[in-house]
Amino acid sequence: MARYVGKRVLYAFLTIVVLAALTFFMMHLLPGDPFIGEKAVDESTLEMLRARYGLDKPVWQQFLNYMINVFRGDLGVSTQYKRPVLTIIAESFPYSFELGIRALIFASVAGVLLGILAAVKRGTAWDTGSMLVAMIGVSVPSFIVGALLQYFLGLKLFQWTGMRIFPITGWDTELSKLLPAFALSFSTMASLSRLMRSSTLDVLSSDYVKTAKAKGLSQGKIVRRHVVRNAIMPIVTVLGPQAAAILTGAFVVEKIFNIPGMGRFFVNSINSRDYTLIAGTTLFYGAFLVIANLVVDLLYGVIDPRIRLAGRKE
Amino acid sequence: MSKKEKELQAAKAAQEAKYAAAAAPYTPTAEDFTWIGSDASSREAIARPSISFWHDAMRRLFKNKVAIVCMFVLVAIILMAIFVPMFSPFTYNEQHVTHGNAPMFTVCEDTGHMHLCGTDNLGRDLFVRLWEGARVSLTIAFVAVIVNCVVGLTYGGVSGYFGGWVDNIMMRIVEVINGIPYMIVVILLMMILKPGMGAIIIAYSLVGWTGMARLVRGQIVGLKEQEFVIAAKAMGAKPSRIITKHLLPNILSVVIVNITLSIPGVIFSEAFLSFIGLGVPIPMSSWGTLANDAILVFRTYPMQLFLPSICICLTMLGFNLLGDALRDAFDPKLRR
Amino acid sequence: MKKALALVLALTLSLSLVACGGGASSSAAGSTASGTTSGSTTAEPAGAGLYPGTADPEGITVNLASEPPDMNPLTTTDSTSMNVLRHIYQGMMYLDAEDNAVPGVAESYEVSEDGLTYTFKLKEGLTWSNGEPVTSADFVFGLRTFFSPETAGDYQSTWATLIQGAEAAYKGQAPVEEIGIEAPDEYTVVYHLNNPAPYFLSVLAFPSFFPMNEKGWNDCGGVETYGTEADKMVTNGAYTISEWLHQDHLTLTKNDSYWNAAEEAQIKTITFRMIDDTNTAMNGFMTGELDMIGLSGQQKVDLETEGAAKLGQYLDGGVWYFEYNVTQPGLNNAKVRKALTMGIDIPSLMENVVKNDSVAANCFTPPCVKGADGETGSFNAAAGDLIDHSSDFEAAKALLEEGLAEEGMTVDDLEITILTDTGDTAATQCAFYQEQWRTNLGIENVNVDQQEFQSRLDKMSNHDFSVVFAGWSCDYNDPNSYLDLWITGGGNNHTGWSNAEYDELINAAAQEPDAAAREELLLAADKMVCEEQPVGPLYYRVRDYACSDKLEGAVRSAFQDMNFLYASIV
Repeated sequence: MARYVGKRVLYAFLTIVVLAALTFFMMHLLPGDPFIGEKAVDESTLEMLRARYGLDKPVWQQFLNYMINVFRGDLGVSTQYKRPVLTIIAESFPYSFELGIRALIFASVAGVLLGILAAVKRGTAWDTGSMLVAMIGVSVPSFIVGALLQYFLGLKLFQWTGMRIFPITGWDTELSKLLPAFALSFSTMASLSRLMRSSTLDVLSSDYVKTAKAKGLSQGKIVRRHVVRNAIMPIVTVLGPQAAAILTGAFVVEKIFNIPGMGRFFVNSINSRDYTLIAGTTLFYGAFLVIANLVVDLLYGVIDPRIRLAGRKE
Repeated sequence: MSKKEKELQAAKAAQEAKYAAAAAPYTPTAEDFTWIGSDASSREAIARPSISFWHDAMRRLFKNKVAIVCMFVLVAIILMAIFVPMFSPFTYNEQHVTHGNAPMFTVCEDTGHMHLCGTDNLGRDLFVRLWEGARVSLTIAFVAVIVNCVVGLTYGGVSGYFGGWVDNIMMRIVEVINGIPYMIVVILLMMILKPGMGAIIIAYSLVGWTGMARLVRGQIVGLKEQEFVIAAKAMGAKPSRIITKHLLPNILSVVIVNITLSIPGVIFSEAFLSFIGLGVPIPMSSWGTLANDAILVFRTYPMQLFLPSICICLTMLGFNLLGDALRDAFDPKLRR
Repeated sequence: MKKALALVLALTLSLSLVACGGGASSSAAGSTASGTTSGSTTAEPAGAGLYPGTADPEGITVNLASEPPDMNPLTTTDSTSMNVLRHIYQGMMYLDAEDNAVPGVAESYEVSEDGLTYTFKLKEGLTWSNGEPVTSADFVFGLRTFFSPETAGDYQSTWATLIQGAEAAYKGQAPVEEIGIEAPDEYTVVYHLNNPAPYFLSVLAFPSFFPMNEKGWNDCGGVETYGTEADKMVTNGAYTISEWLHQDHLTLTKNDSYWNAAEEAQIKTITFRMIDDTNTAMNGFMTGELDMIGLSGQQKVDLETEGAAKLGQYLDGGVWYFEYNVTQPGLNNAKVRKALTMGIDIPSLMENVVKNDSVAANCFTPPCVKGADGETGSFNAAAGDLIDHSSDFEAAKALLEEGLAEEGMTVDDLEITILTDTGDTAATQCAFYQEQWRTNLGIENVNVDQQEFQSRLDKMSNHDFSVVFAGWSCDYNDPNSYLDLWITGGGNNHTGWSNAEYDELINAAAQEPDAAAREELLLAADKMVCEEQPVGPLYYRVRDYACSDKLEGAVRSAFQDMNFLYASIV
């Protein structure tokens, strides 16, 4: 097991380096320049700025320098904000992370429960109801959910009651965190519930569940002991990339509720060709994604004892 | 003498002959029987016709009333998408700016026809734009399903089945593809592609299948250690046969759910592409762009947001219930 | 800060790339259709009481719409940052509520006969936020740092035309000590100019010319990090910066030692929020989280219908136009270009698409700049109606066909690609232009090419377009800030248009000491633009905003996008 994990960590490391290299060269292919705005800038000014940020060297050399600096723990200085990329990430990521964690926990708990409920009570009103919730959740993206929640619970509720229950923007009180987290989690929750329903149905018709039933176990016990553990596999699979995506950049929701998270820095960096910030955020996001996937793969073995991890084969 | 009478007489005659025979009993002898031998072909025959997996699935699918209704709804949407723009008195790009943002059932001042769903901010008929948009959105949804199925299933299947270093490398590639900011990919694509359907399909195909590939791979990893796979392996089945005949049918349910769930995502990723200029060229419409435009004015004209949203929901519901029915039909464990 | 306007960003008020130099009164004369006012809010208190604003009795919260990208006064280029800088720094001059340049740090000033030497006496006893006194050395250090090659600011080339020796200095060909500024004593500063610039006083209110405390500059890390955090700035203005949470908010607190603290800056704290979603800003305003927001056209209509909010509007200095690629066959003919501009129903565009009181363009220079007589809008009025916006499409079509025939083409040969920004606003307007040209002029081959900002610039410099729908706002309060765009080889002239006569007019105007004669030259230049039409002017943009009941006297104009120095809480 230790050998397998070690190997996977090595692979993860290589993946991140490849990702960084690809992103680095691709972003330099983009048309435009970090220092050119709509107003024409003097050539001598441009040269000075390029030299300051090391952009006057060939791209491969810039990449080598960048990677060396990364290993030293320096992600460079943002050409747009002139602040260290590491500072920007360290300042903005906690917001994104907290928002993401809240959304993720809500989405997975509610999604799994809703899915199991729909599967166990298949064909009843519970099933239909959960499906409708899921359909709306999947069909209506977070920018619409967020805007509607803010409009009805933030504005209209305030106008009707005169009480400021849910603030429009901000990230301080519990109530101010509720709407953004819910808006972000809605579609994930919906799709998880559908996946969970489907895989629960699979498990419910399997032989060991029939055996358990024949043994006379109660419905609740069967679901808790036998079904959930086996049915949760697809959820764990999709949760890996989902988690990375939700935790690192819920751009739309951060924009609607004006949360100073990483999402807006990430999007702005690409639009303004802020090379160091693009590379830094991509590296950070990539590392997150790779690690999340690694955790998921390791979880497979823990959750489903039938799965032998590849490393133990040899 | 009519034909009927003749028949009656013949029947009468036959009956009389029978009575006569019964009156004089006949004892059979051994000579009356002959040995006709055993028929090798019919000996092993199975009384009921053999039903293939697919055949059986289809049979069960068509028994499912919900599935039929869903198919009907989807076909209706497709027909509307085809015929409404052809027969509407308005075209999707025609502007009547003097009555922009008109409510539903407004009669057009210029032409005297009725805007069934009102107009948008430039006074374009929303009804025809809705169905014009359906063409775009449905095509893209359809293509996405195919891409998901073909690339995602194959990639995930191969990766999961072979495991080891193959799996490791293939999944790392997926991670790299997922990690590159999509925006960068799109801007690079814009340098070489003209905006339009082709560009949308390519932009989606480049990254859209990775989620499916991971899901399939995860499922296969779980299944491949099970007894029936080991049995198939022991009997010498080739990997391609094991993947297609044994593993894929067992994971179809999850795959179908995931495909149907991915459809709205596809529709809205098209809206994102249109927003930054790689999607459908102006002045064409799509459900995603209609919803996207409407969110800016939804507090004043909520109808403009609800119409495309309802269309997307309806399509989703159709695909999803159909997906559930397909799931039930295809699930080998539910086969009786 | 010749920054053209990015449409998508501009209308959503996020990251607006326009900032404007100093100015004089801009009462928007010449804006006929609109009741445009600059300066204080136009109050329409029909249902007052519905929007009381934030609860804080001593402070206001307003929407800045985006993170200020560069808060270093010597390198900044955008109006967002300047909206903040205006409150925390003060230059030699600053702008009053009517956009007139009035002495700030200066006590008095003298201008030489030839208009080339400006001598300033400084107020004594002013201090920086680090305790140092404000002296003439700060102005000298500030301007030398501004023009030093290491600073590499976008505005170096713009202002180098004004200050003696600056061109050589910022290009590294001469030491910065040789630029035309000197400090004979601790409280006297002398500027030496290249040519008589009637707008120089208002330019001194521009951040590039702000004083800079040498010790503070070095303590904050110089050009590399100055202005990146709240504690990396040393200021001398009416407010000090007390908190800056990036991408969220920025708080200014009144500087009680400001020399005019008794009269100005009556609001104790100003909080700038960075909300870029217009729906969110509107919700925030309606629930009393914000005291001032910018409005989209539709939002303005909505609030107007409701009639409860205090609405205001101002010409923001932006002129919006088609930039034609004159190297394309067909578009090389002035008649064709003119016909294309005539083919747009401008009144309908204003009423049905832009949906606010933006003004149809009568020439290239908007009415927000002042003419030779010092009256805002007099230049625009003197230019008269140079653009045909009569919506006579028969005439436009005839002109188009005539022009195309001269080039041996027909309407079917004409293929037009409108290059523009990404986003909803650009998409809507370009869909309108496309349909207008199709129905009014019968041009079927019109495509819209939406490109994100940097890609669009790239395509513009490669002449990879037929028409760009773009906007421009001035750097300083003078028609030249608009008209020198179209000189041959100008960095912002992407049309490929070149006219020696035009270049000569602009050149002569720069050298002309007599204000009236100078105006004649510039008027001739504007007339030439409208006749040759390398660009087809469409409209001058008006921006709308709403204030809560408690905020009174906020100044918004083409030259001061937001100024709360003269505002108060009621």
